[in-house]
Amino acid sequence: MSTELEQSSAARQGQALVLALASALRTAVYYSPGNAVMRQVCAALQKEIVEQSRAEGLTRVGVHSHSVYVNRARVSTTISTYGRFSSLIGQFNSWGISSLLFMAGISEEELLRALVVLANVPPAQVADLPRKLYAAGVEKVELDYNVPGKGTRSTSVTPIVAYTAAMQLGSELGQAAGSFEAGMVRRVRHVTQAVVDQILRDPVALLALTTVKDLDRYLILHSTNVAVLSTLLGQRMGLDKTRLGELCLAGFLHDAGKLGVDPGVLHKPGFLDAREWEEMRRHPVLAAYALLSNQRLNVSNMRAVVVAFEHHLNYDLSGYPRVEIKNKLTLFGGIVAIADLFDALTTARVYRGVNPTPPEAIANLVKRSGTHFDSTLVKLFVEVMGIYPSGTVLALTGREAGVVCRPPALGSPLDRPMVRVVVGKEPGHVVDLNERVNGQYVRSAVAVLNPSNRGQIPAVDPATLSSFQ
Amino acid sequence: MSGPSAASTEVESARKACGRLHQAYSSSRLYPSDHPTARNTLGEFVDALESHLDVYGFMMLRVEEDRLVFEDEEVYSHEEVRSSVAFLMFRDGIRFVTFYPGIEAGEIESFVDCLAHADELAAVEHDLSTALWERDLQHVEYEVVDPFLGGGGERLRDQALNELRETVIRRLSELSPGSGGAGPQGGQPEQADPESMTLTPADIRRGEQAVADPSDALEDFTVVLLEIAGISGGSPKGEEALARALALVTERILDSGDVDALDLVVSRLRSLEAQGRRLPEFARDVVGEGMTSARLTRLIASIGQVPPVEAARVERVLREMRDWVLPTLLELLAESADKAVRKTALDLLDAEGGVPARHLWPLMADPRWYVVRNAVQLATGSGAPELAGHLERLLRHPDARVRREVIRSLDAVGGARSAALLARGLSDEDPSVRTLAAHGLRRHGNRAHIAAVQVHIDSREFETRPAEEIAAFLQAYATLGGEATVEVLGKLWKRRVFGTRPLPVRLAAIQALGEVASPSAREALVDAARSGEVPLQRVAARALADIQARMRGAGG
Repeated sequence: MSTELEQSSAARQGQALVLALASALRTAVYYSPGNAVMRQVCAALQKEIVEQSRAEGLTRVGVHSHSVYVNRARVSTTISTYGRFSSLIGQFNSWGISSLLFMAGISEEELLRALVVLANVPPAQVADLPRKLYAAGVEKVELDYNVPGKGTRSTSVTPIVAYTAAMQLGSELGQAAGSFEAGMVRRVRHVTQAVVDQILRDPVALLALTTVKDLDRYLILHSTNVAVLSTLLGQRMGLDKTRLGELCLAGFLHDAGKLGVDPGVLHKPGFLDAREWEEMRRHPVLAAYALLSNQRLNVSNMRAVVVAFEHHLNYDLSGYPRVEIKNKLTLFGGIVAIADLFDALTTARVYRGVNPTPPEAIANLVKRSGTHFDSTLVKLFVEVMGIYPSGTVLALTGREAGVVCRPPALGSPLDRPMVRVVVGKEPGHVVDLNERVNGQYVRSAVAVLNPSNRGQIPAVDPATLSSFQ
Repeated sequence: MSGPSAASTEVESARKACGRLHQAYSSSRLYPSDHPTARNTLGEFVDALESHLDVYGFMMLRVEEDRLVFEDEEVYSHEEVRSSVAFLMFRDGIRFVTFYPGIEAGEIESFVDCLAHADELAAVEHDLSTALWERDLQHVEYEVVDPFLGGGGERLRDQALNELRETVIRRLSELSPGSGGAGPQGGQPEQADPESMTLTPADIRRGEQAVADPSDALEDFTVVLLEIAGISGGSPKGEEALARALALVTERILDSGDVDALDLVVSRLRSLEAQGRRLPEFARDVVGEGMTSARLTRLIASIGQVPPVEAARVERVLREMRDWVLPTLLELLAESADKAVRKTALDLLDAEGGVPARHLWPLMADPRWYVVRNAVQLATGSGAPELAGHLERLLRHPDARVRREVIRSLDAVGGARSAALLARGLSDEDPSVRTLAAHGLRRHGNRAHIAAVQVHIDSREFETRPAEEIAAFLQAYATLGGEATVEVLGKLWKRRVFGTRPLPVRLAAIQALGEVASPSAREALVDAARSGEVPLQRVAARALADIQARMRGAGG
């Protein structure tokens, strides 16, 4: 059994290899094989392959569930490596392969030829990759293709299924008034796992659904939305699957205590007075009680209780409930707090004079960085959501207007999302504000609109909700 | 007729693999993972599965309650449902499991391991599908029961989708015509500056640190429970859940040996009790219930195994939690084979007001002498009226060590009944018991007890007894009898005309004369001081000086 030191060294080596591969593939898109930069990254990659091959004779880089594996070991994603890892995963998915195998003894020249073929294969010809590699004289690089399902149902849980299942569960939990029998807990866990799987497959697929919003069913949708938003942020931080599952569960259950609050206060269609606020402030403790009542002690249940208790505590502990021995907010509590406020602010209320737009909600979070919220987490959240989150109505250059339907691609400027045109030459068409022609942006945001004081509007096209696919 | 069809061969291959799966699963439940049987059966499953995948590609199995089905053919079932891998998976919601080519031995082992420990998972409300999900096996996929099925199946799923669609349409229709046109409305709303959202190296470091060093879930959970314990207003069910959770957490802390965490729990509960925010029963339920003798023994034993500062901390924590764990401390006192542990338990029990006597009576009937002895020691300060009866009975205990403790107890309690029992103790077969009894009687007896003392002094073998006993008896005699004893004592210090009188007797007699505040006793002491025998002179002189000092003190 390897020592901690050996495992740590292996982890660093694996990460170095993945980063070198991502860098080499990206470089091969832009530079010719003879270019000095290309040669340099190729040499660096070969060095890592040689290092890795020392132990096992070959090096396999694989992708599974939005994670990268070197030989059998999962390579952790971190905040700083997230972009390059995501780029590599995206590359593998576009090729339809599950792993790349580098044989021991591969020369720098052969590796260079392989990189050029891989980086430049047209999408329509990915099935031909093995032949193209062979034709380029590459014999020490092999591919494993994803095995297509022979009628397998393993991908039957789509984003819509996961989201609506979560909604349905939230509704049932509400009717059960916070009573968690064992079967219910298991279903919550399965549904949150489905949510995590969706986020790992396509981080943004569920995001659009969180913009649906319905004040009449606020509590139900809010639990689901906070679960989704929290998991997105957790994924951006590089949390592994198990911890994402715990985070998603905690996000889903964070407001379980509201079911114990006086319904007259909970559903009051107006601002709360001091007494009513006092009643509402009980809900974190009530949530903890509710979650304790029917559950056993495993890590995910414990984390759910902690998050339910502390999600209004604030980063500087100035929130509620008042604490006497706790001296800091947990990471999960900090993440859920951000997701909670964002979803709450972007759900329009009749009694609000002005319902904030999503960018204003983001600005609100930023303003409270360092006091209410961890500033690093806020920045990462903004990176995930963009300055103009999904559901923002934008006026664009060229007398167009549209709804943001996807955040900016990773690495793109934070204020350049994808927009579904609503008013303009091609309504329904999705445009990328990051698109350039001759170095100039094709279109840009001119202003943020707040039509009918609705704040965030649904970013999802209702036509896509006709089936579960 | 040709040989078996390709399809039937494939089914047979799947059947074989499933059979090997069952064997590997069964072995993993019975044997540790490095046991040859476990390794062999696992290896056979690996071979069978890999063979199938190499030839036929992936293998998808439909999981039914009592069997596994491949291509609509049953390939596995087991007569004992509870030992069936199909039932195990079905029970935890798994309806399909698919194995893909490229699967590695480690993944297969991980899969079998999950199955083998599925029942343990149920105990902590974990489940098999979650365990598989967390293992994230690259070449094994499974599908759990439709998330909607638990709540009503396809009807509910379609209903939820319709509601979602209608909500979107309704919200979009709420936007008034023309309100989505180009151009700003009412000025630019506030928005974040993209530049300021750039992650700095410090941000990255902090964020990665937070992910790499996750806080301990149990520690965070414990702190939250302790916070909630200080907040009133929970329902009875909630309070019960809180106490139960804290008790479970405390058990885990005790098992882990985490003194920091234990200190936190105990200090917080003490603080809440002191402030009147929690009743003592709460802490007793939380800490006492889980404090088995094994756990308490480990905690006490740790005192001798850690640095002094840490040891002092453990001792403090033990003292703070003493009242909550009394029954266990008493159990340790009775059951522990370790003398040091018993001593610590006794010290803890003996501190701060003692132990309610009702806990001790049963221990006084214990067959083990040290249990009885310790119980007597603890009961002494209780003031319980039943104590005297127990002590009287225990005066006849076969072990002298118990009888000694009984005498000490009678001496500490005092009173007429104790005096009577002490007098009885003078006749004990053990010299040390008799000695202690004599000392005790000296303090609590009266003239009525002189006869009991004198019968021993007059006995022939008295002078052969140990020096301490002789001294104790003669002092008791002098104290109780006063002037009436001077004549006897005055003879005892002198030599015999015929035969020898042991020196210890003579010295003890002189000392005893010093207890009698009378002129005749003083006179006898003066004679002794002039005896010409140095040891006697010395003792007599000291006794005279003591008398003078007492008289000065009394006279002013």
